[in-house]
Amino acid sequence: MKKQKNLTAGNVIFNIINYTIFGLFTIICIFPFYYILINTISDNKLVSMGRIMFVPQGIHFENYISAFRIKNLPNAAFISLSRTVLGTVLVIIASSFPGYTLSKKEFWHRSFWYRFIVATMYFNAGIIPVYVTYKNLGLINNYLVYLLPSMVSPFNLVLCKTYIESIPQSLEESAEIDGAGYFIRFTRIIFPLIKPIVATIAVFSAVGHWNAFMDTVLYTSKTKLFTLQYILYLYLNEATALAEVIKSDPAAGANIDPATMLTPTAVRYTITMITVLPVLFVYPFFQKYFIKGIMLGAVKG
Amino acid sequence: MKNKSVKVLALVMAVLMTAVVFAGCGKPQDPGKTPGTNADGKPSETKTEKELVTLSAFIMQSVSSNFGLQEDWIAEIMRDELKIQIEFAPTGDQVEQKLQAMMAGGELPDIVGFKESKQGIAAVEAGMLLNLDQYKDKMPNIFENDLLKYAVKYSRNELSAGTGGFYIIPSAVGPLGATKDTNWKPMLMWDVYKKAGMPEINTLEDYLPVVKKMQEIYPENEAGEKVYGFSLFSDWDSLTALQISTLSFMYGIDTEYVSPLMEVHVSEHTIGSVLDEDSFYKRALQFYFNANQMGLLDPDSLTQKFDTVQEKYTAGRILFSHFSWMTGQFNSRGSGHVDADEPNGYEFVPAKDFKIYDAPNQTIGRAWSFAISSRTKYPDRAVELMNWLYDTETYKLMSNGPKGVLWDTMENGEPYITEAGWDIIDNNKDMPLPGGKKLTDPTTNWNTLGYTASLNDPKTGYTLSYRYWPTSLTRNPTKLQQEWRDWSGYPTQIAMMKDLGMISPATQAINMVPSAPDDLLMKMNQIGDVVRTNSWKMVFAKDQAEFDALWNDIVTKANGLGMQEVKDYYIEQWALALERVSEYED
Amino acid sequence: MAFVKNNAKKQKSKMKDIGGKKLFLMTLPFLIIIFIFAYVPLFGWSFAFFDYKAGHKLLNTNFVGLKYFMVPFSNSILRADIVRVMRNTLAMSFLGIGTSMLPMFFAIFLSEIGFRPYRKVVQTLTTIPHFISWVLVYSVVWSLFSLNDGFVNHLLLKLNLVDAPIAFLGTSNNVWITQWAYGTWKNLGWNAILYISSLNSIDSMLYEAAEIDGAGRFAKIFYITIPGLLPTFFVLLMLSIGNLLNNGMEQYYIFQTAMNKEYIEVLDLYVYNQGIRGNNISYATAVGMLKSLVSLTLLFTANWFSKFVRGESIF
Repeated sequence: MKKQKNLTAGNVIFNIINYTIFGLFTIICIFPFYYILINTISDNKLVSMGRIMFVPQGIHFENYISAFRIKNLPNAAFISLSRTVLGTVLVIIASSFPGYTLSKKEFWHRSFWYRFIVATMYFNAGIIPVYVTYKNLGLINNYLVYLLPSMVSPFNLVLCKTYIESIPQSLEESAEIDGAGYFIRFTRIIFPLIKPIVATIAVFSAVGHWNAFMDTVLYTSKTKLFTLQYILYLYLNEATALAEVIKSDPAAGANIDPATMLTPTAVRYTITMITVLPVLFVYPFFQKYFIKGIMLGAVKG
Repeated sequence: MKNKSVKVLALVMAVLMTAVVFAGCGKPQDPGKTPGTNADGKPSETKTEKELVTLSAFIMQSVSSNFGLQEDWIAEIMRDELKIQIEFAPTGDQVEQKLQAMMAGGELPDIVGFKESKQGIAAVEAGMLLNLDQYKDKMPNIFENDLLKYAVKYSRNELSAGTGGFYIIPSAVGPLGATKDTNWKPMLMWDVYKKAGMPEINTLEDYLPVVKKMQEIYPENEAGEKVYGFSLFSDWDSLTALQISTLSFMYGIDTEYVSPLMEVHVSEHTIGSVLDEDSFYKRALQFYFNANQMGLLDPDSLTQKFDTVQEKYTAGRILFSHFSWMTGQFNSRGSGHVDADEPNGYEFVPAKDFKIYDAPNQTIGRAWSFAISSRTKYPDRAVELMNWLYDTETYKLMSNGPKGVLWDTMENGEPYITEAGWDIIDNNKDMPLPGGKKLTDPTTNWNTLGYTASLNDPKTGYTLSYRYWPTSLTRNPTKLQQEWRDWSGYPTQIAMMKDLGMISPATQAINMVPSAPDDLLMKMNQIGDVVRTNSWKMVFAKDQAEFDALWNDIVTKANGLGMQEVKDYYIEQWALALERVSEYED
Repeated sequence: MAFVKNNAKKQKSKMKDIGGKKLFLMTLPFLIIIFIFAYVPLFGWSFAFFDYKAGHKLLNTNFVGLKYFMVPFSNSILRADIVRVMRNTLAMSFLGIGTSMLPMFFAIFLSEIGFRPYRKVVQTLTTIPHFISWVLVYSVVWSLFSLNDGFVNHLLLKLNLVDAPIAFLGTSNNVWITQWAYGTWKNLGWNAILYISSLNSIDSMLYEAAEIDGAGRFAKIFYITIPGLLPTFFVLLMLSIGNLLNNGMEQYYIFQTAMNKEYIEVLDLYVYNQGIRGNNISYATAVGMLKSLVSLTLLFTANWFSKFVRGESIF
């Protein structure tokens, strides 16, 4: 019966249009990525002249090899990876559990506290007071600066709360009658049910942690705490920093060798690839969770 | 019940707030205490054997990505001789904010490099820097150095926030500029200029017909891409369109050091604003407007960034360049153009009436400077480091490497770079010393050292840097340089400029105008926003009428935003700087 | 009897009360973290009222009152600027809000693709633009659209569709639409992730029941899928209304030229162009404060309005 329905003329036309539009949009999305990719493996001279448009020429992998020679890279990769994993775990805990407690009407002054959290999304105290606060908390040059401030994310918390509220109350009530406390009910009943949103938050948070570099810029100066993104950012930034220097003293330009003036285009592209690729490899695993979410939903129903 | 809980709530909040704020705000308020007393500064340093210490350094003017613990050939030498190693904090486009944040937090790294004198003065005011007067006997290379006497005096008078102490060590003391080389240098693509019959150029506007002719001869490069006379970019603009204003330096007019909004004739000492009816800036705008009307200006000038322009130079798609270093890779030996049978590349072709800006002899150094944090744990060692850094021998070591490695002296004492030395320099090879890395790596960490490269070593009479040694200057010219020499009849470009009176020597006063107070700076930024935007619109205006209308628009708006105040400030400060400058000159 | 019932009710409400406090205590650590990292730094707002200098005691600097709040309005030229900038800011924000249903439809139509590998590939690849920085987006866009070397102009000229190359980048036409398109291209796939996961939470029984009732594809979308996604949509809508003034600036900064500045300059970019960032802490703080206050007002107004009209609110 299902098969038959899918073959009606309207459905076929709809499918064709739907597949085509998504196909086209995907191509538009992938093109810049492809463009950057072929530019990283093509002859650097041709790249800097902007000759590589659609087909790679003079294929080589020197850019990647030299990128992996960057000082401190292994340590930075470790810091990045660990903050991504630990940070994401913390974000999940700090979004799902308060999301759950705040979904309870009996929460002491619930609406006040909820607003107390949501409002922070729109604050920006400015760099200096934040720095001073962190310094007083001993977070400057401290690994925890990567984990604690980003831990409670109001946005993720709101998402969790909204999701939890869409789950039928009855599921939890049976456990309440059994005498289970809030914490048990959360871990045993609610958390397994909200896996899809947790997976989403995990993606958001992991990508955020993986890509973050501003916290390193502002709050650390110790080499052993540098993240991968930050080191890559510094390389990308060299040309900009140079521009700043020449702006402040144009004559400084006379002493600079033009050969060292630029981070070559190819290097910038390579660094982008190094950033994006791990995310692309990991992302499909998270997608599996979405699909598992469907299964769970089905069982639950 | 409800009331009660609200009260409890308020109490909880209040307690938390006070707890955190007190834990917070107490500490940063007492940094350094009275500047210079340094009561807390001297830990139990044992006098016996020197321990290896690590000093942290935050050098804002550095563009190096060589952050972290210094590991190169000079680091090895420092570890052996000074027992000091340096951990360089990374820099980048956020340095300004990071400095502010660190100052608000009450602590600076052991060694700080400032990009603007304003930053240093603010740190002195906040009591965050060490008064080096107490270490006078430990810093003979600074306090008893004839080369630095005016720099020290200037620092005391103008950079000590009125205290008269010596906190900030200026850098780059010595001559700079046209005595050896110049930053601003109009160049044309040589081979095409030759084919165009090498027409004479009497003044700036004469470049237009010449370049037009060149473009007709050479409309496309080998790859079939269109060639333009001029190609500009806007991502380095500050208060004005930098690419446009910078032409003023060809006529000895500063539009950078005093203020981008002002035009200072560095030899005649007159001052005006870029918005005066007879300003050079307007002439430069007209120049590029005409270029655009003639089809000489790259229409992508508006949207491209610096990188793209460099790439276009590399590809030989632009005929004119105004910065000596802005040639992409086109002039490098590796490109094959400069040593071809028909050599090509960007070469110096000045207009006859040019008076190219010649940077002054910097007896007081430049805005870039160094200082030691008042909270450093190792004040004695930091002082030792700075003393070492300001030794002329250290400068020579850092720029030329140790004697016997890259260079040697002839019998008459003249230094020269050896064959092996040139091999390392030209091919950017690693240093054959423990620690390795490139010759220039240690210098880029600081980006500026105590002296300029062209300062003569009082002991030998030769410049500190190998770049201006006699043998270096005459060495191995490219065919392009050879051809230029034959054409001009001069051995170097500088010789030509000097001989033809194409130089306008600047007074050091241009480095002595203090930056505007914050309120005025705010107005200048607002004015700059208008000037910058309209300048580009003027260059790409449809016709002269639109050009004129846009100019009037800038002037009206700028006046409405307080341009007169800006002018008054700089006219006054310029006069004061001119008065004071004689104190710092022989 | 009534007494017993009443007592039981009281008992229950007392239980609830204790439970509520328990919940609060369990959540307290998280609230403290929020307080420390979001509220404590707000002491810095006081800088807006002084001529603040980093490293100095605040009380040693000049108290200037509301001076920095007045700067943008202090002069007729600046007032005209502010009007123009606000027009751009609101135009871009409303374009965004007006099309905020796109990611939801993206998710819905994506789920209509039956061939799973295709669906997965599309879903993964459409998130890619999110990871490419604006600077690099610009360099790709530039290589496609620049006047001399742009691929598109080359193509158009070759096909004789145009006589002269088109200035796609340095033009004052359609700035809002083009910028919106770049933003949508970059974030559509990414923003849809949330809806894709919410889609999974819709009870599959509902679809089965509808199918038995003979509901078609669109009927199911209309009566089941969309209502299932609306709560998420409304929450996001509400939050984006609070962000009316915060368009960010990176994108606009990268794409701005003298020609399109008239239309591209949103509030954040304007603040940057005026040299406020980093340069003048007090002024920057004042601007930040004003923006926070406006945002919160908008957020709570929207929330109140939603309660009034829809009978529900998000908090």
